[in-house]
Amino acid sequence: MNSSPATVFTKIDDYRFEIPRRGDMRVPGRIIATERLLKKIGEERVAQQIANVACLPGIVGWSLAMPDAHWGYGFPVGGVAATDIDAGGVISPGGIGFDISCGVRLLRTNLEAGPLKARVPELMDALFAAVPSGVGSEGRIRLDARGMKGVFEGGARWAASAGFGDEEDLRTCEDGGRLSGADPELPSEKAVARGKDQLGTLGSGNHFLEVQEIDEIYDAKAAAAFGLFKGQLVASVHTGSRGCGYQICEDSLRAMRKASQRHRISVPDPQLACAPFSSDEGKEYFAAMCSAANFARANRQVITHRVREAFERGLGISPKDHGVRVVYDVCHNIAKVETHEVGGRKVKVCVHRKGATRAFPAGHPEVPEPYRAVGQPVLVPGSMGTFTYVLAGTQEAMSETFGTTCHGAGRMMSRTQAAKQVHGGDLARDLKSQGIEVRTDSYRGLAEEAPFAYKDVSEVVEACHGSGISRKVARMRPLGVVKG
Amino acid sequence: MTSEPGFRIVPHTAEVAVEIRGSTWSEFYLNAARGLRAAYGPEGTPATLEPRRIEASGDSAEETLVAWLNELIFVVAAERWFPEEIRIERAEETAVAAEARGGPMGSGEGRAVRVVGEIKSATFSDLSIVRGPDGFKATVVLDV
Repeated sequence: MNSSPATVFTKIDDYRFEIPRRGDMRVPGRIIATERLLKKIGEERVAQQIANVACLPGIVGWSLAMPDAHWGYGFPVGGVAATDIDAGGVISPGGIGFDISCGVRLLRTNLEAGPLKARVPELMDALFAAVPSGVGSEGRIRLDARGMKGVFEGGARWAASAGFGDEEDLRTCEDGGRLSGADPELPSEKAVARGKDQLGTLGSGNHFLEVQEIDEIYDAKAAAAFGLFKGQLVASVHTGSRGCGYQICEDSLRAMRKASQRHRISVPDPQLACAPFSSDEGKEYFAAMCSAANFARANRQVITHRVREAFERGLGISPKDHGVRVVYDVCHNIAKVETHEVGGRKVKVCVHRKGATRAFPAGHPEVPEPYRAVGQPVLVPGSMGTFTYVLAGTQEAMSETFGTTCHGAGRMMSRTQAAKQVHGGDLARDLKSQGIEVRTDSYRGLAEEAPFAYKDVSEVVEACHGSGISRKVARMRPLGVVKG
Repeated sequence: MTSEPGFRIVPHTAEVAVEIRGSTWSEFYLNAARGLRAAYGPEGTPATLEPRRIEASGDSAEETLVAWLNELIFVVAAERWFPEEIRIERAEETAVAAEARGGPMGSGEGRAVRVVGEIKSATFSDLSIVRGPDGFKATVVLDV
């Protein structure tokens, strides 16, 4: 059932387009984009999903989509919705997705990329060996049910205390690397079974580990605060909660469908099944989601440790010389309890971000202290062969998008279509000719992630910068990719 | 686009969508499993086939379809066991039981099957099973 059809956006200005409220929509829809991007986004499907989300009980402001939006399931990818918790606002697993707390971590080094370029193939071999990737990849850590509870409870903090990093790594992670609302008893036996061998692995699809060179600085003050400089060698990690997160979402959806019936909530798409945040079902899902989110944070922390090992064992560079440190770790599939100003009053809301990144401004207490003067770092990967950007959060994002901006380039072509247009082996050779070393165990998977399957990340970033929902700080050029 | 009688993979920007048909519930759930197999794009076949019982149920046909696919996804994801053949033993609107015959996945000894893509879960996205004179039809989106 699609009770609120909306297929046309109304232009507000060069970066803002609206879907007027109609049918069962409780708020209007809004997308931050340019006219050019809208054409690539697949307007009708995304508009319909924005309109569907606008029907959720308790939604406030707008049903939003970011410039990298595309057709998803339930929410569009790039979708953002805030619900008023004290007014019966709901939480919906469809607004978070299966890969709970999928996110990006940026690691800086003390190294200049220039002198090391000849050794990038060696480094990529070491990273490919150190960080398992691909379908069903399993790591070197084997956990039992008790160990998994420790991960669900402690997140990156568990990993650091187990020897995979240190306190300083956690200082510049979102939430200090751990969400406090987790209940480690909630994930099912199946969730434990799917995740117990997967800590420290990338997985497949669009997940990756990339070695990059900073080739442009746009905001010198913010870049300095983030410890970034032109010519620097850095590494980006994109992965999430792996199998246990998928299973936690799956387990929750069945409960949420029953909850929707019990609370007499009607939604236009069954994937948007939901319950009031304050209900037993809502609280239970949130606590299970936080457990998965902590697994994702622990996963990226273990990978950080493996990256250090690759520099040390693969290239023989000492910890003091490589100086690998965490710039930031931020997720883009999550629901969070935050306070935002809505209609002139402070409201406690559940902000759903599905394929969208938190972007808090300078001065916000949740921005890590070292970055509080310049705003929260936002990490926006492109696709293989294209740039990755570091942005910073802004006050405009707080007032317009519940402190949110884009999360990447955003797909515009199906995987099947992409794989038909290029062979993975040819793509790897083409990237190599551009100076990008690729390591993968699946050429088919590589082809599915070809750069042309995505929108131009620079165009997406310009829309975020131009609209004011985040601002450009630095740009990175890829030198090597481990592809899941 | 993979297309066989009973199912076809249809375009989706980010995920994989499978259109499933069946003149009976038994045929419908069998074709759903075949569509899932095509979405995995397996390479190779298990050296030996071992039987395993797989069951699913739900409060509605849609819930049962998603639960059925997710049971198959679970054995692939958690146990690295690929169901090569499916024989439906019992199927109705809200329950399905089958014997799957398959084997271990990976590149080690006796592990001949590799899959191209990871499938996270079957979703309820716009899922509705349509009943017509020719049986049942649905399009299910798989998160990949």
